[in-house]
Amino acid sequence: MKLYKIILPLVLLAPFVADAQCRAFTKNQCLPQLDGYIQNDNYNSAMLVPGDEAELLLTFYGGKEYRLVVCAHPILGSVDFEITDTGGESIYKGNSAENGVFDFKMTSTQQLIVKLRVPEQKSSVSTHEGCVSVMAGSKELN
Amino acid sequence: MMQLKNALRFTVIVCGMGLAMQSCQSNSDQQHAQPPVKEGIDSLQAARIKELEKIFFSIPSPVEMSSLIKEKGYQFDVKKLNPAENVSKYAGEVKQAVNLGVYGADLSYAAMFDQKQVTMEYFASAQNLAKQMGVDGALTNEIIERLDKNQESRDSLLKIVSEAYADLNGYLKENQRIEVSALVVAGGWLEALYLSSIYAADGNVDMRQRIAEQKYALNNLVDYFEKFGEKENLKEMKADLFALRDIYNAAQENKGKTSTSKDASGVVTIGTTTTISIDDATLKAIATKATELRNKYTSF
Repeated sequence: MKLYKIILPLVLLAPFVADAQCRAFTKNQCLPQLDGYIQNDNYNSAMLVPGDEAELLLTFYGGKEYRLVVCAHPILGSVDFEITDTGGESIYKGNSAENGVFDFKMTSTQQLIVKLRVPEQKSSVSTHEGCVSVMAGSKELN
Repeated sequence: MMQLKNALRFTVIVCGMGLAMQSCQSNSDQQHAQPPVKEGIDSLQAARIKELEKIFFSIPSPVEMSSLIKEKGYQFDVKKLNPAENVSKYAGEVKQAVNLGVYGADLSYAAMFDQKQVTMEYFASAQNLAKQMGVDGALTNEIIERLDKNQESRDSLLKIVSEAYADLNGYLKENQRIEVSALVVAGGWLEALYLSSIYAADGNVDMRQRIAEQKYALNNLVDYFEKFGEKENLKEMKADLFALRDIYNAAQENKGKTSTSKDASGVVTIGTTTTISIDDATLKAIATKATELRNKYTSF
């Protein structure tokens, strides 16, 4: 029982302790997808496992053009995401493997929510952890 | 230690988070015999979700906020910035972290106005401060070299500065300095609000609007600080953000509807009828408070 008490917290929190590779993955694999945009200087990358869900609230200014990138390590398969307004109205649905880059223009300032979901891997014997990164970049409207 | 780490990693891989309660506890008798185990997993899963919420957080960067200053034709003024030479005078984790954010906003502002020399000077100060704090893994000499080589392009300067601060944010989160990361972000936001409020004092409608819109970022920031509970090193900033939010409560927000449309090239345009505004008295109160807080944190 004592061993459980020691090991389980470490196991469940391990993805956050060991994300050195995630920063490198974000820089090397995800950041190039923001080419042409100025990156928002927040870092939103974490090691996730199948079944994980996360949400990110972002503010976008009117009069700007944005690129939102949801980038995931292929070991996780395709990470689903949805962009909604704060009332829950869906604006865009995508997945990291096929359409993880969303370009849009804002006419007025608004907050939007990005909801992420790493699909379960029911057929797999083992479950893998992998880096998932959400990046936003902006540029002035032409 | 390495073996233990690998063993733990293996357990994570085999069990996974989503499968932890199923695969690792498939024996129902065992579940009935040990209800505390399930409760333990539930509470740890909740703790993990809380940790995730500390990572997935975002507010507009100082670059985004201060870009309007340049767009509206205002002039660069180095005297408005926190002097770069003050860097060695900051002691203690809180002041150092907040001022690391302040210098980040200042160097973004300088980069916005193509002030290559000032940008490099402020980057060196930020790097110096990061070294004092032992978190200089992201603000490297290589970045100074990149800034030097890209002096002719404003977008390159901004790109390098923004990427460096995003990487710093990642470095802090990766190295379990997530509270320091929160203070850096708050310091940067506060400095950008301070700079914007100086320019908004002349009555420019767009600048006033940008100040009003900071209510979103501030609410997000306050919620973020609340996730850390009563952490000693966040207490002061949390109280200051709460005080600022009290003033921002006077901002009028009228909820509207979101609209989307697609142009011929397939690019989506998103709009809303939601509006947010502040009156003269609120703008003045925000500017006064932003100045007071900025001066408090940049003093030594």
